[in-house]
Amino acid sequence: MGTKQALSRRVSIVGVGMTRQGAHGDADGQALALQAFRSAMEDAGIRDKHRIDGLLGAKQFDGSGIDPVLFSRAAGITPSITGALDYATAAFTLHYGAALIASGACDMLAFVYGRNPPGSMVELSGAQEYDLVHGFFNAAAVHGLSWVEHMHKYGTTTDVLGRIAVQSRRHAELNPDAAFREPMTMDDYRNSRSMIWPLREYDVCRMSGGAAAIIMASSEVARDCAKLPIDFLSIGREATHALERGVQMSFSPERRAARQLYEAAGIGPQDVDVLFPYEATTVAAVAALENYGFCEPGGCEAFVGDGSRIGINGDLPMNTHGGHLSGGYLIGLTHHVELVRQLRGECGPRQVPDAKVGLYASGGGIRAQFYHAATLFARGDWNA
Amino acid sequence: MTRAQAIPGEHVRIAMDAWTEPYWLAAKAGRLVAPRCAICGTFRMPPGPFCPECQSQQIDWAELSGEGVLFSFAVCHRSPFPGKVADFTYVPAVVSLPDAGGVRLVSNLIDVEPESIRIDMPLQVVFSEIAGGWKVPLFRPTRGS
Repeated sequence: MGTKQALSRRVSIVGVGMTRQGAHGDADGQALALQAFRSAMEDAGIRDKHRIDGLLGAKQFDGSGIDPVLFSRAAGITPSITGALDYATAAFTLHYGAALIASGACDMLAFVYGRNPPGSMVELSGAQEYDLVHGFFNAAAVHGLSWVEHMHKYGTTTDVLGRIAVQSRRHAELNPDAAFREPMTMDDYRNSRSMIWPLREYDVCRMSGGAAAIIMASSEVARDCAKLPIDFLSIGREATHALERGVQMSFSPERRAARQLYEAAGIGPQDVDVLFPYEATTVAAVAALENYGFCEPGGCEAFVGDGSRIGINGDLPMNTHGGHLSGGYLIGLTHHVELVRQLRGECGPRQVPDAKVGLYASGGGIRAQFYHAATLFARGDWNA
Repeated sequence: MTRAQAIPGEHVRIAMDAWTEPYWLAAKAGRLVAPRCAICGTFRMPPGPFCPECQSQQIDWAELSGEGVLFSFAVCHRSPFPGKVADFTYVPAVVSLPDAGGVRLVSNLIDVEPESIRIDMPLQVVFSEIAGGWKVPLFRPTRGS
């Protein structure tokens, strides 16, 4: 059992679980999240559910999502700490959970999330935010604007975005739990509807239903669990009011989050075996390539090439489960499930050979504030 | 060719407080203003209670020329009010304000063919009516540019 006296314990992911992503009829998000939680507990080999002493949930802006208190009641657990963040996509919440474990406040903590949203977007009428008045209600508008700026500055085109979309779909074809699996070509991409120029339909992730759960523990507790623990190596964070002042929104020549991440781990981008960018749109994926040092600023198009480089057998396999774009949108959680399974070697036909170090990178925005959060994960023998 | 339009004003409602009210009152009167710190002179946008440089709450509301420079933009063709308003073309934009220290304003471009929009193009403010008799500052290309 863990000891709660230390304030700087190491943290590992010990269990992951998810439902299939896609159509789920009338099932509600909490019912799906309960399924994912059970499978994550089985994955970790935890028979006594009362060992979970922290439970984190997350909500969307429309109020849908998982309330951690109601979920705990439904799951029949009594964690000593429950919570949900204002901006709660996967890295932000997992960093909070990791801090709770590292501090000794919890020994074993679950992050659960599930949703099955109605298809339509929340209408703008009644929006009380300054930037919503002008139609900035969707990540695609902000990302589109960033890509216009990128094309202007570097002479890039939307072709690189298409390569990302097509490669994501190829990965989803290998993943039975992915939401969108019909084959897609570059012609399909080029012929898809213009959504928010310069972005097309296939640049933007679609809503889907599903759930996932991540169980974390102190690395000492993790040794009792069934599977190979996947350790947090380092965390990188950044926030900026970039919309009104300062640097570009999605792209910045100097990312504080990336520097913090690599310096704390003592490694660099060349040591990353598999990359998981959180992509509400394809722009976020190419931004991760530049922001996290896999290529020079402006170099994403040359780096991605025909897309094979970011494929399963490429130099830098990326979103091997299909990402949000083809795997289904679940606030970055399916990315973490896949990352853990890749580092354990459980991914079958889409397994990256000998993957030991994985990087998850996300950006997001709310109220004209932009955030970056990234984590380096590794299996215990990564530097053996 | 579809010209960029304003978001239908009857669907746009603003909320305001003591710190934003002068901005909206000026817009209603057809004037573009920006809060400038009365102590250190730093402009800020959106309007808010504290200077980001010196945390003073004293504000001079600077009258601006209404000239802007396009920082970046996107072109949307889908209605933000599905089922209520048919699809139309609108252009979310970030506009730098040279006479407010380069501070940026989130707005929309109107009266322009999307194909002719270019980063760094000069813009001029125009005021468009929204719900409750208020007006919102939008931008169009400067004539003759």
